[in-house]
Amino acid sequence: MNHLNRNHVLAGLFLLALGFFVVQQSLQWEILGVNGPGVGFFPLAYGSLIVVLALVLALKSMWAQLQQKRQTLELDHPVQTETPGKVFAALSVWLAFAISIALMKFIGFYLGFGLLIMFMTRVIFSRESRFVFLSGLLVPAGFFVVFGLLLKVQLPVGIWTGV
Amino acid sequence: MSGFDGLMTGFAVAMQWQNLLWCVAGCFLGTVIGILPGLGPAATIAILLPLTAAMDPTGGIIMLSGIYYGARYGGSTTSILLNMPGEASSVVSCIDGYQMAKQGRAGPALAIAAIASFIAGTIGIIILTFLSPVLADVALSFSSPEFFAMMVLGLSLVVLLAGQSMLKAALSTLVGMWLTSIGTDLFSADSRFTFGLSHLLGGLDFIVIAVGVYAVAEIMSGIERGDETKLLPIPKGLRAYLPSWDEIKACRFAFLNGSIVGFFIGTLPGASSSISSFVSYGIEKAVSKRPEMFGHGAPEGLAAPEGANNADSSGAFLPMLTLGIPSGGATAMLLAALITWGYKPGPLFIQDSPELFWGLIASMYIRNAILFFMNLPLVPLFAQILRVPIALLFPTVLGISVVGAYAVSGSLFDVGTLAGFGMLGYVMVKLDFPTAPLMLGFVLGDPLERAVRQSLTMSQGDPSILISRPICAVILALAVLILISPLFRRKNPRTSLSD
Repeated sequence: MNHLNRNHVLAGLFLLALGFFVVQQSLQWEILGVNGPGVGFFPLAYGSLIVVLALVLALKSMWAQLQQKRQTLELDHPVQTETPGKVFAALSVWLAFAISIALMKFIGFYLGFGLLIMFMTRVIFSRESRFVFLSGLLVPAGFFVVFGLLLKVQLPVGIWTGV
Repeated sequence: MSGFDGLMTGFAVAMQWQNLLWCVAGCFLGTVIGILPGLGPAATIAILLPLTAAMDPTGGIIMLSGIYYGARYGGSTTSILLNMPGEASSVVSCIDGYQMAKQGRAGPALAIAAIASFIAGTIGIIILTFLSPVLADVALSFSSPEFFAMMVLGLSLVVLLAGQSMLKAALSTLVGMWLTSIGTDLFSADSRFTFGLSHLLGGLDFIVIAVGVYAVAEIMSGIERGDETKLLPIPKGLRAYLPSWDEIKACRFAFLNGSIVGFFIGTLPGASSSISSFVSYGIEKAVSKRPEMFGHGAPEGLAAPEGANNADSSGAFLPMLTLGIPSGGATAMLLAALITWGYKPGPLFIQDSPELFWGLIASMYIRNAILFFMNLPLVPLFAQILRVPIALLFPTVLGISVVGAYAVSGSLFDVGTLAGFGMLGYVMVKLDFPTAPLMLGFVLGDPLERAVRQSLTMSQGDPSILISRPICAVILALAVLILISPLFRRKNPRTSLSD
């Protein structure tokens, strides 16, 4: 629970920064003009609310974190943490997904997607090589049939590969 | 056009063979989605939205809403056979449904879930049919200040009901509003928060955010959870599905309870379908003569939440179609679809587009029947879907997400943005920030800004216009009451410190 409170403090501080940014930007625009509210009126309103609520979230979570620390010391309980391996797996899938999107500009959708499938089946799901190879080949082929041929949906074309 | 006449017109539209076909396709796809743990109807509708843009609007909306309903039906299958809700609304169904299945009554449990869904779904649609024109008539007398107040009320309910922490729900909504501000201001043509990127001048696309926050984030969470499936035996033969007369009799009140509670909770913005399921389950247990049976395979403990989660789908359409205010993530997608096709759901929607409106309503009756008759005989087939390895399913969903995001504007920038929102959605899930308020803040942010600016322009900058008009004042007072209501709630000593 303690790590969750710490993350809430971080989330609160991040949102506080966002709120300040929104308020600072909106103050550079017209707030109230002769024809009524200007372009900065609405962002100023919700930006101010973000600042107030983010501050409450950060302070509340800091307080909860302090309380929790005190209780942990009193009861001598070890702090429970979640398995980092699973979070790492989720984050690496995201990273692989982001990299495959960046690669699609050069090698196109089908190749980029095939590489993503092979990474996920091999590294994340620890499947054997034949499964990895076949899924990396057949799933993009299925996409080509359904989206490329049947539905005629435009998909990213690689500047290196032309497909 | 009266409710009855409208409905007849609607049946003429919905019974056209193309629309029937889209209806069956939506029901089938929705059931499959409902069965698959993790991928919900909101994510599926988001992924399919760009692909339906070229479709006939009536067929398109019939199919998309078929997915929405079908997922509710399908969700019960995994709850009963797997003790794993395929959909958030099916969480409560696990309690007694899985117990019944463990006692060798999987067939009757699936049948009771289908019967409850059918009865409650039908009652919900009947209420929707006759309440929609009334609510739309009332809303016709509204002007910008009243619409502003209505949206504030809707967002207040979202903040109160979505998630466990009002603070997080409010912040989520406000971030959604910020995201909708990105782009060019329609009043002044000034650009806001574009960071000098020309791609952002047109604003962020709803689909890109929705697919990222729902589908990509759900895949990441699924990988973290390490979703596994362990199926109970699937009943064979129709006879194995027949519930006993005693079981049906025990569910009489549950059918009605689920219908009424589900419909009215479904109309509340932000009230997730799991709330209606929990409330109807709670009521059922409270009035039951044998509450000790709940949690040990009481059929009425399955019928009430199953009925409620279907009736609440009908309830969710009421504010969306008549006021233009979606009540959750999936209805926000349906609203976005209608706007993409050039329609403007709201008080004039019934008058301006009677064929589409009544066609959609009539298709709901047909869909309910299709789902009832399709689900029971096809349970063994649908259950096979659970055997698809997650190792193939997850990358496939990511691939479809890319297809959906790229179809929006044919730009890899949108696909990159999709990945960014995937990470945002994942972080939100990790930190217990509800995602539905973000989507509702995004959808309602623009009309809310327009309404407040028009109101203040009408009054030449005088904010008292928002409280001097009686309807507006009452609605805003209600919104304030909703927001301060937790202050009057007795503090639960077991509430977590972080909340």
